[in-house]
Amino acid sequence: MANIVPSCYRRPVGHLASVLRPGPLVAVVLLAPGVLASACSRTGFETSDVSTRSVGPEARDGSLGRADSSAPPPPEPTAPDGATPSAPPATPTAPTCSPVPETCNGLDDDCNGHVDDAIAPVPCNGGGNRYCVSGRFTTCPDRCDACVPGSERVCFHSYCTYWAVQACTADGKSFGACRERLVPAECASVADRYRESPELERCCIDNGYCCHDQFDLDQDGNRDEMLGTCDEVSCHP
Amino acid sequence: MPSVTRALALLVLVAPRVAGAAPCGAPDFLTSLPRDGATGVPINAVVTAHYASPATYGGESVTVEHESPDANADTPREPPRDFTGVFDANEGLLSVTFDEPLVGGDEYTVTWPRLHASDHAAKGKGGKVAFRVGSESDTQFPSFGGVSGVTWDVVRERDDCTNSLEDRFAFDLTLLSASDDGGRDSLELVVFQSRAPGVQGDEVLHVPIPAKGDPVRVERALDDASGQVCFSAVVRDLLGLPSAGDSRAVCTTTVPPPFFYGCRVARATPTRLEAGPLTVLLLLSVALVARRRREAS
Repeated sequence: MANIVPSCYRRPVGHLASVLRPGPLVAVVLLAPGVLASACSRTGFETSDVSTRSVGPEARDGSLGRADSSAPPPPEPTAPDGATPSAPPATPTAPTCSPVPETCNGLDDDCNGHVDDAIAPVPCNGGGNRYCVSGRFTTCPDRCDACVPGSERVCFHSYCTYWAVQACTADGKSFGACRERLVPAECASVADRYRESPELERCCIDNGYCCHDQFDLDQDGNRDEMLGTCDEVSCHP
Repeated sequence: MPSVTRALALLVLVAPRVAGAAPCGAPDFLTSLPRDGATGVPINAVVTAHYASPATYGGESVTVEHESPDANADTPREPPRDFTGVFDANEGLLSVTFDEPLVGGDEYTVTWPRLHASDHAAKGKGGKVAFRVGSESDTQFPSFGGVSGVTWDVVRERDDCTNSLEDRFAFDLTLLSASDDGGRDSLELVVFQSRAPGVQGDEVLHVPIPAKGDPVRVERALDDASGQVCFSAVVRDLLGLPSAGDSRAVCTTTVPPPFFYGCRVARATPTRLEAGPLTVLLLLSVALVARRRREAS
């Protein structure tokens, strides 16, 4: 018989749903530790060796997660503009290597034994550069990740004033909580009549605010973006 | 009484606006290359300072003082010179290229200006760094092995702008060796994140390369780094020349909070056994007990 070894690991709370789905079985699990193994395997718990997982406090360095792979497979050759080169040059292991100027493609084009070496960065409009990494040029950097640090955008609540504001975090990586504010005079009547609604978002945009597109007014399927006067908020002014 | 209640409600709603007026997200000077105290800086170095976003550059002067070690009290000191820099808004980098080579063996002190934020008049902090110049030029591309390992955790810190706790994934990257003819201390590390190996990466960090053996920390928003995350990096020298693009990359898989620290059952042996004999026996026992209780009642 297999030796059952209990240990603890981390799962998102949402995973509980799959664990608790078979209700009667959960009761059995609570009664007998020996049943736990069977119950876990039936309800979604994995029983594979923990040491192969990428997350979990079993990491010997004490961290919560660790790398699960370190050697990426060779990328598909790509030119800086994204086009596939028409004639890939020979690799250094090929019987014959015909030197051509080195390009960013994951290959040793100039036959010097080094892949993608001595490739100058490509300047971006507005600043920053694109670098050759893993056979591809990286994207151009933005002035921030999600929003300009300290800036604010308007969001909408379902209660009280229906008008709120989200501040961008100091590191510019996300917005904070949507916190209620007094609705400005120009949108007060709209808030009174329509409450949290597309009409209120439209009023927000029309009056020169930067507004969370909660109602997808531009109908692009993205409700996380912002619309309106957002040059001081957006990372892409 | 209703008017008092209304006044209190207004006070509560206005209060956050007042609290939000506290300065946050100032365009402070962060780091520079060459870093403060650097020695052996190449004579053709471009000096660069990194400012926090959202910095804007209005032509503020970068002041450079030059001092020779041979100078004595009788020698008149060279007056400080003001330079106009070139600002890269996307990376927050202010650079100064000198019109003539730096003097080998001499010490330079650069005073970096305070810059404005793009959305208000407040200025951030400036900086002052001193370095000593070596005798060589930097001509070669740097060499870098890449990223060799990554660990992650979730950190929760109070944010000055939102005045609330914000969660971030914190990735600690282990780096392989790096070198350059301009010296390792003159290298800047640029880290890229992608969703899979070999996929086009986004720049997520650029900092002076940490001391040999030290990891570098990359913090990411939860939405930007949940699931599989891969990191790669290059180094660039004081001329902006990058290392080769074939450096090693690493991937990991993250799980966003909230976490459930559940009980896991794993076997010591790698073979799968869906329902062992003991389990079947226990299930049967439970069923028998339940049946007897039903019959007794």
